[in-house]
Amino acid sequence: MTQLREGQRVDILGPLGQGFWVAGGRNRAILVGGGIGIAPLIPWAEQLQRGKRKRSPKSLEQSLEVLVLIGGKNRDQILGMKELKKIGCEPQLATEDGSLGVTGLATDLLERELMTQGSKSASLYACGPMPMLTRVAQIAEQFDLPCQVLMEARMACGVGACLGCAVKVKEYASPGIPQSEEPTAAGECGEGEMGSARESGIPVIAEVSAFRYARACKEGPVFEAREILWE
Amino acid sequence: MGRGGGQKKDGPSLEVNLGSLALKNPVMAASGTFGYGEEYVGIIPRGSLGAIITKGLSLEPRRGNPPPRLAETPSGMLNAIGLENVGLKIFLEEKMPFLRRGRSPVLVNIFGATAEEYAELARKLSEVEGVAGLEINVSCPNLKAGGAIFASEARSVHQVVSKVRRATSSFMMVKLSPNVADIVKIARASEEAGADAVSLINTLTGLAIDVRTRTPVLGNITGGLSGPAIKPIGLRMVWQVAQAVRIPVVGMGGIVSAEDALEYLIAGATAVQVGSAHFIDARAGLKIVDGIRNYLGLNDIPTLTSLIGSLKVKGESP
Repeated sequence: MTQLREGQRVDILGPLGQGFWVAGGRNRAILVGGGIGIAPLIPWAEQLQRGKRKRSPKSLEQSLEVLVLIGGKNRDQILGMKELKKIGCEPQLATEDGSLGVTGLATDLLERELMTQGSKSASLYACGPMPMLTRVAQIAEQFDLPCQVLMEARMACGVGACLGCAVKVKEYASPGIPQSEEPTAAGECGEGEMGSARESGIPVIAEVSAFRYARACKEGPVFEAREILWE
Repeated sequence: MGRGGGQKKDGPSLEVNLGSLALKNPVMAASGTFGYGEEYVGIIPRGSLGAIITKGLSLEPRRGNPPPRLAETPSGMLNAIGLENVGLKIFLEEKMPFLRRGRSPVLVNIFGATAEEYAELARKLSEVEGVAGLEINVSCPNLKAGGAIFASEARSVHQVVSKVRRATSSFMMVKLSPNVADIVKIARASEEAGADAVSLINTLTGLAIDVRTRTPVLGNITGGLSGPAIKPIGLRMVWQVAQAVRIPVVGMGGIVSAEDALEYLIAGATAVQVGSAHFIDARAGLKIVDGIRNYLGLNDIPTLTSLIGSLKVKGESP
């Protein structure tokens, strides 16, 4: 892309997948971004600001408050400030080295916000590195808040065909369905590696261990945090 | 019909025959890169490819490997999907109705952990309306041989293919692995066991390492390498195999352009499969069909069949 010239035609396939949607019955949207994870949150903040609705149109309060929390390693990695200001957002900032905003992580900002301002009627939308998303999901559970996370996964086809962008999600499996998953050193199989030879049906007993792989490109990349099997 | 769709009445003929299977053009969508076809609705006009080969299917559903499942490498990519698939029941109930309505022949790629599983799948699929044939994926661990892949030994390939042959009279193509000492031997074993065609090459086993963490990039540690990086290997193997067997050879490995496809055809492939190229350009297959047609037109070649295996080697008569 860096080699494209102005005016050059490009092929684009999109939009693809499931983006953020408005969490119903909430009037405070808290967007949490880490590093380059801020990028998809900017258009989402803009959409929320303009009161655009993807789902539950009736439930969105007119007085929706949009709060953006951004974290980065240092001041150079705090991105999207200009764009956010343009749409009327004054983000709260945190850097790990303290060079801008408070010293700490985006999730520290989130915790502080919920502790001091209360969590009533808040909904969370997050994008960033995995440890950040994991922490945001924990906080959402702790405060019992609806939370959407934009999962990062390497993708190839983008349309749900290649099954490359697997994200582990919870599933209530019925007993008797083989749930073999452990990788083996076996050779290449099919279009790639076969994890293990098919095992005869191992009954699934514990619900928590039941999972499936969702396709981030099709079913995501935005998922409800409670759907994800966090590790 | 859009670009790359049907043939112009007066243009060169792109029709080829893989034994009993007639294709209106030689470009097929490779298994695993084209899902069950439905994923590309609205992107590729239905019926524009020579054939569609569906994602590798097993009797029971498979969840696949832990992520990450993909890694980008120079001129290619590694994948370790782990043969995730919906299983036969859901395939028949939810995927076949769509596939049946398409105008491209549908080949179902199948695999199993034992020769009996292959045969059972073949038997069940042979009665299914809309299934034009099977592609037998022998690059799977053989449960009865300590996990070594079927494809690595001529004997186990022969066993699987002959079992499948007894189970079905449908068109059967065997997909060969390049991760073997002598692919010609394996191709011959497939032919002897009753295969109608062979397709090659499957991916080459590879590894990518993250030096910062000193961990493998892929959840499965190793993965299958595909893309332009493997094209010279695929070409060499197709060329060797095409001279050694009488059944048609279907070439694949790194085909992203019409020129790549033409190379395979000249090397001896009767048809080609496009795989990873779909990830760069979802319409790659269509463009390749168009490009082959243009090439034939420009070079006054009336039928594609006269191009197949036409490699001119110095000192030999063409």
